[in-house]
Amino acid sequence: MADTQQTPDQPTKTGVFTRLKRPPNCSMLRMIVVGTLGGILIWGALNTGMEWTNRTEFCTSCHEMTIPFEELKKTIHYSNRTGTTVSCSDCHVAGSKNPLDYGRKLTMKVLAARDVIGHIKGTIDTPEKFEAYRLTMAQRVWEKMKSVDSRECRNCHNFETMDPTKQKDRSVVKHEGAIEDGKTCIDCHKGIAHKPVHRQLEGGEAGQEKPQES
Amino acid sequence: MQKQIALAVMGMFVAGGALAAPDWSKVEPRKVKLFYPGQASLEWVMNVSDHSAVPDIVNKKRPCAKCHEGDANEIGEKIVAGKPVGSSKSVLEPTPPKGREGWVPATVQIAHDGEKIYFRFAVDDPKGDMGKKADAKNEVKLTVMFDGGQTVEGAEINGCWATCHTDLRSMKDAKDDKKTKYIKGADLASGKFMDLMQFRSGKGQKPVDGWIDSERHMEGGKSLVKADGKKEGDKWVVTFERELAGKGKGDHTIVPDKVYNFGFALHADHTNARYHYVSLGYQFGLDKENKGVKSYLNVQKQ
Repeated sequence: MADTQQTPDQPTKTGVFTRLKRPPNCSMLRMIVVGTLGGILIWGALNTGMEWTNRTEFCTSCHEMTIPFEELKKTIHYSNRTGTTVSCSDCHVAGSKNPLDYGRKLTMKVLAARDVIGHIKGTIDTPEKFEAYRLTMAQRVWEKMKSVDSRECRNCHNFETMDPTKQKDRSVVKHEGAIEDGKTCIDCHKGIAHKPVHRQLEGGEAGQEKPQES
Repeated sequence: MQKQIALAVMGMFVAGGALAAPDWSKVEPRKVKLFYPGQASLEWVMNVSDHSAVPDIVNKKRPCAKCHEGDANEIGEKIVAGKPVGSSKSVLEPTPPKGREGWVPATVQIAHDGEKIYFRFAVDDPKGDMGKKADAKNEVKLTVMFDGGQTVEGAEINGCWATCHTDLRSMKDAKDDKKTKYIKGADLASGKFMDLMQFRSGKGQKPVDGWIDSERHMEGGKSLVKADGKKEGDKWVVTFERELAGKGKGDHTIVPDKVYNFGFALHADHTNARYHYVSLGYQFGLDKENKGVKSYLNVQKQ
């Protein structure tokens, strides 16, 4: 027999959206627990997705990216005495340790969808196209690095913790000068991870030789 | 006996305060690296696309020694092997000599006694061979150059490089195989020149007291009293004794309260021209401290 106690706004069959618009039929505690667990799962999924796509293997899954990766392999940032190494995202995503920076990092990741478009369009899908586009790409990276005071570098390197007794005289002098002049790392250290292209800049802006292990 | 002692004592006073040579064991030696410079002319050093430090040299007056005292040996090794150096990756030695060292260690000691100034250099003999003998008479020459106390523009930064140009004999843009070192804008009368002293190891070869203004002059100076040198073990030890007063043409007078820019070079194995081992620019002053300046030598009275 039909339930005559039913109120008009509680029909027997309801759509998903209609149910979602209604308040849940549960305790506050259940709401908080489910909400928190759900939030953790969502945040965890977001973060996992972020880190999964930060892996070098992911970046180099697009064959275009094997070109700069092979160049990186020849530098001290990849292989050195202590085995310390970088992944692509350490320099090219480079969130800071500041938790408030997460929003910026997420934005960067979303904007990285442009890379997918580039891949589909085949903008740099041959070594020749890559070379032709190299300076443009490099300039974008340098501008970005300069705009965040080389955070990409300063996440690991720090003027204050440089040991001058382990640096060459001219490195000590140059770094002191850089601190004095308020220079940022990328001002001098262009071309340290990939094929140096900064000498093509007009005006002959001189870059730094690859820093040698001391 | 007492009369003899008295005579001896008087004799000592008569000889005056001037010593024949200082007690070198009391003079602190300064270690210096002499390196092989190849064709590294002043023009190359001051060209920013070759040498990225040019803005620091021009704007901050940064001396060569400040950055390069530490790695002069590495630079010399690269150059002598024909390897590229600098931002432009230049090969500064087009015909690398076989087995030649890129640098040799040296020590310099300077002292004075109020009337004369004494230099003592001890330089390791470089290994390797330069091939044919350009200077058959002299196996070794050791040359010192100094200005008149900040009288040569740039010498406070680059020492002898003020005299080294790309159009000299044996250099990259040489047109005249007799063109010798010169200083741009030199002026003998106003002290804009480098005084030059050279020891030559050849038998009977007299030491040289000259100068460099718009060209190199190998005689005319009168302040150099003597220059001696000999091989001691694997080192060449060369001493110069020079009056503090400038007595001849192209002779600076060395006075207290001035800082003099100097450098020195060794031509070994009968070489000439650019095939020498050179020092970066250093400075000296008489009885004058200059704390914090690593490249400065305080010449003390003995």
